[in-house]
Amino acid sequence: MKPRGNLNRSEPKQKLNRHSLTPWLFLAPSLLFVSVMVLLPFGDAVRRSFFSAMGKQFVGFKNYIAVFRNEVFQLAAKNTAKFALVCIPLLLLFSLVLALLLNAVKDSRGFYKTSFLVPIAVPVASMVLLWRVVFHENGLLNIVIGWVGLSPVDWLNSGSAFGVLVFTYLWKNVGYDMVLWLSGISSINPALYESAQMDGAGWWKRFTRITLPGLMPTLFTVTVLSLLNSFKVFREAYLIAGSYPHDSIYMLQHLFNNWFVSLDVDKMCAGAVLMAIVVFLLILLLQKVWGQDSGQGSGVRNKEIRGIQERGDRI
Amino acid sequence: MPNQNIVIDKANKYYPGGVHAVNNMSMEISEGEFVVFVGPSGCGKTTLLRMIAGLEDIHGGTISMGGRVLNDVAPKDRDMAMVFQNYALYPNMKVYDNIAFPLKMRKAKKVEIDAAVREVARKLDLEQLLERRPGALSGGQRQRVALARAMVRKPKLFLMDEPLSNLDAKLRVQMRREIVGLQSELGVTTIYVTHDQTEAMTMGDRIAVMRDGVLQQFDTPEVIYDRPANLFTAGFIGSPPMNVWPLGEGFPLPPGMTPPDRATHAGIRPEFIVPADEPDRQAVQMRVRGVERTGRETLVFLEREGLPDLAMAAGSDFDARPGDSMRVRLRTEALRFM
Repeated sequence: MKPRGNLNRSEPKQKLNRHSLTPWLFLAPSLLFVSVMVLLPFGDAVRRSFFSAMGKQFVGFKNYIAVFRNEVFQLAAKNTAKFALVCIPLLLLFSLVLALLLNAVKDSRGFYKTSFLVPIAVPVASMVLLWRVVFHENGLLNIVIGWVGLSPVDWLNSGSAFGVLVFTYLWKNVGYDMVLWLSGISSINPALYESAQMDGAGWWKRFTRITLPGLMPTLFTVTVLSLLNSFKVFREAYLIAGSYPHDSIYMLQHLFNNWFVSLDVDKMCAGAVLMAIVVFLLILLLQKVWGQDSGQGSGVRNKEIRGIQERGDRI
Repeated sequence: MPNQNIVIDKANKYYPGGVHAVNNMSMEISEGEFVVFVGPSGCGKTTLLRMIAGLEDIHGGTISMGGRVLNDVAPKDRDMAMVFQNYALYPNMKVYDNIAFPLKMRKAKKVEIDAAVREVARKLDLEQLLERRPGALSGGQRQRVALARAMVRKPKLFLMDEPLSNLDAKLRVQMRREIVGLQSELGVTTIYVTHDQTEAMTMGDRIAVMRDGVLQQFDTPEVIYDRPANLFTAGFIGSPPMNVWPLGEGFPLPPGMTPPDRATHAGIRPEFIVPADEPDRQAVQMRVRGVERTGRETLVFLEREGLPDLAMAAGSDFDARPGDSMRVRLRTEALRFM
């Protein structure tokens, strides 16, 4: 992203130079870090996606064509997309409902808030252990199911693995999104509700006319972050089910991981570039949708969008 | 139809932490009256307004309108409209929809809504702005929209919570007159909260002066200015405030003048202190401590050992400099006791 200096073009040239340098100086530390850790490696990945695996031979779009034809890639891409499509709406809804409930609670709100944030703090490794205890064929969940008289399910090695992963994602992210919603809710002027109350609006009207419109900027933040987080669910899937999990939870990152292990660096890079392009386009699309949505508070929204882009770059 | 007087009878409000925000407040507001609640911040004026609106519970006592006790009536059923300090316009709705909102919520017919919105928009000069969103309006325009939204429903009572405090001084004076004009035109009972004594004096038919949740005085601006009921009112209303001193100290009372039994202080407004001629036996010699020129008048601040400091309001052509010595006389017929 281009730094914006406080350039005043009417100033003499000497001053202009100093002024245009200042923002870069402030940016330097993080720019250096991001360059070394993110930008340069990504640039190298783009370069490699056009070359043969080990050699220095330029192959054009061959790698991309190979990736597109790869059935495993198609499966992984489909799973990843399906996962995002299922999870994000569910997560948005659950976290919003939780935030609204929590907002209505006056006492011990802090306690509940912290409770929902615990899953973020729980290390994935210990969570994985717990999940094995719960979702194993002879695990806790099947015991409970047995009480009701249903036959046990092999949760992690059947189509239900997808459900388990969705649940894991929701469990892990609902608290974080809830906090984002809560901050959005708290930024709505309380006098709006009082005014609406006096005007005769019931709680549903107040929700649809004040809360929802007021949360539009937050919705953008939460959606983009949830989208990016949905790609990171690989960690949980990998630790629960290993390199070759059930077909229903074979994600793009599984594939990347396996390509990496088998030194298929060319395909891996092509796949990574494709994914980066898709994510980037998705965010652009979301931004466009929000941009047209309504004229309200566009300044706030732009600020927020810029923030997202920065966060997105990091992820 | 019975009169729609508002009767506040020993109303109380406690906040957590033992704050007695409204303390045994009683008053009766007549139909059509413009009443201003005034006092320093924390005096309970906004709380009382919100209790009338139904946005705050009433902890003891009653508030009624037209004989109907409102304590347990929902805000929307009280037939009141409120203008909030920060306007509380719905940011995602156009001006038109903001104004139409109260009618829509009451399920009025579309044609009626349209007619009502256009009428009130014409009255408040908002016709050009109906398609805009609040974010694209100036402070004064937003204020007008908020007023329009309150007026469109033709409520029995307007409640206004410091509606002008976010405007600049010039606009405030203009809106002040406009609100008073609209109110007398519509004849709707209005309760207006402000901490600005000038607003209170210029707008209210009657003013309720409050402090620490207690009603200090409830009367017309003239009476409150001329005969403040206590030291607080004497000090709060008027700029500069009334000159006051404990009885028995400071300036001796003229012979034959006896203060009422319960009075502890004497006071006089700055405009009743006048420069005295040499032979005047009741005059006192005082030193000028400071001079403020407002253009229309000159405020002279006087001091002398053993006497209370005095503020004197003289004509704009009055000439004095700090350090000068001058003789002044109190026009004793304007002495007040409290």
